[in-house]
Amino acid sequence: MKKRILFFTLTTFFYLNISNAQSTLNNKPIDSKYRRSSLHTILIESDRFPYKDTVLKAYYNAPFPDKYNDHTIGEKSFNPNQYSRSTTIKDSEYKSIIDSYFKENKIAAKLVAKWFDRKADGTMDMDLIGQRGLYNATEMAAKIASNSARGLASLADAGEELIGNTFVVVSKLNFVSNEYAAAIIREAAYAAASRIPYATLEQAGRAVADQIYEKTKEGYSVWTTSYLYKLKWNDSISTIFYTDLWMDENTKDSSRKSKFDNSELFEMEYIGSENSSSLVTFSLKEKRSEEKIVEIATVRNIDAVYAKLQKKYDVFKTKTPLYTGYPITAKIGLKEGVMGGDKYEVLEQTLDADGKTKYVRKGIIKVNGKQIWDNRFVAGENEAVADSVANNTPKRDRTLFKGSKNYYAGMLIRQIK
Amino acid sequence: MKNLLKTSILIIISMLGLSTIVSAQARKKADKDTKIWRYEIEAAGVGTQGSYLIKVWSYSKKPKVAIEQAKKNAVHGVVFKGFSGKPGIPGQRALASSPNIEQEKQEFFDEFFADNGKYMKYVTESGDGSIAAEDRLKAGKEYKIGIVVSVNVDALRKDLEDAGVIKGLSSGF
Repeated sequence: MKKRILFFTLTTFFYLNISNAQSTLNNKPIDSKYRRSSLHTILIESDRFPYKDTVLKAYYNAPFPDKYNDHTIGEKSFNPNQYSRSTTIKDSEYKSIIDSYFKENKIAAKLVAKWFDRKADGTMDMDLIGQRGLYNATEMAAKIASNSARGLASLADAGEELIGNTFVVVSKLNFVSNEYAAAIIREAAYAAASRIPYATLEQAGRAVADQIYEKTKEGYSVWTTSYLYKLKWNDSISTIFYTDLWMDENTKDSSRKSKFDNSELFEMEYIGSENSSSLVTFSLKEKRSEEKIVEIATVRNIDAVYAKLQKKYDVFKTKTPLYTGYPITAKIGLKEGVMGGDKYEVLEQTLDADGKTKYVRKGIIKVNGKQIWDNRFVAGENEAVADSVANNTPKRDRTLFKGSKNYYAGMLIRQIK
Repeated sequence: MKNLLKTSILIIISMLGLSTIVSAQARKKADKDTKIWRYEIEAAGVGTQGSYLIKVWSYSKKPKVAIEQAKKNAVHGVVFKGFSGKPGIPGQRALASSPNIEQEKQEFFDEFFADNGKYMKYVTESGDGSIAAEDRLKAGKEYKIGIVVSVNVDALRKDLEDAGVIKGLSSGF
């Protein structure tokens, strides 16, 4: 009993006085401001796709994640043979094929045109930029803006900051039927069975091998290579654009239209490539048709691509300050693609001995799947509308996280998984 | 056995008491910092008619105290310090023509800037209660915290003029 009391006293003492062990992040500066990215996705077609139409249909109809602005600019697939001199394309050639496709189809200019809602007569407006600026705004920014002379209009202007976060993901899918692997395994099993000296046992071995083959031959393994590109947009490009190419309803000018149409100003910048794979096999619950399996495999691989991007590139990782430290809450939700179980690292901005600021990791927290905020409404609008749409769930204004008690409002959280 | 239980309870009560004392001391220190102008003030936007939208950086060992002190520092800054402008946002001069007024009218300002004093009437926190990650900095054992507030400068000026603490805009003409 004495020991228990002493233990309790000491625990209380340490709880009140000892802070978390700290681990310092590398010196890479962290931009604490999160900006929504805008995505256009493209699939490299292949005649080797099983059920090609199904693959393309699944690709075109795949759900677009809430986390990104849908910046689709028309066609979402192309035939690489049109941009290659050789009939059989090597893996190493795909990057130059994509570059040619971008150039010939003026993809960068089309992405810019979408941002500025460019019409057939060449006139543009700022509506989409304004909408996305408002949608990107945090509740905090909206409240601050509402106390300024320009009100929420200043948030709409901030939409322009998002143009630099426009990405194109080009995916190359390679379907391999599971039947090949299953057949190899069956052959190996047959060979093993043939070495059994007793005929009955050999037959039993072969029967087991056949059963395994039948169950595993169904489905596909899909390998995806994704090439990530970013629209080049900086102060100098922006200045030339507004000075030489911009025109609206009141400033129609055919020479400006022509300049935009023929401009070489807009370009795509290659960021990197990623590989992912998925396996779709038979289902115990339902009898899947070949087409259904191909459709599932396609959509699953698109999701895997999004997950990889988020994991590798900082720009796609959601960042926000903690709203409260205990309970652990933050003003992010479905708009940022928050899902139950998602992990975030908690970082604290600290001034080091050299007078430089750095972020120090204080721990890891996890999203409580039962209390995710549905914030899919535009800043300044009545959030109750969005909440009521979202199947009458109780109204929330923040997302709850699970973690220790050593966190405080204003600490930065950044998605890690 | 009973003695040990009593000792343990006493230790816990002492620690909680100590924590309250530390908080009170932190608040006292923050008030002292305000008086010696140990805070920073900067333009955060163009405020609505008759108001300033400013960001105030306050210091304290306790983040909570720094947040609480932000409003006091904001009003203090508008009265005695003023702030410089940024592109598109004009800077503003202090309402008081001389910083000595704080000493000359010490009684008035002690009451004005007391906890929950009259200064509260003129200032509102502008955000939703969040602190931006870049506005929270741990420097040694201290925290530097930036909060955006809106100061109703028209009402503040009028009340200070009516109280005879500062001169009216038209005085001297």
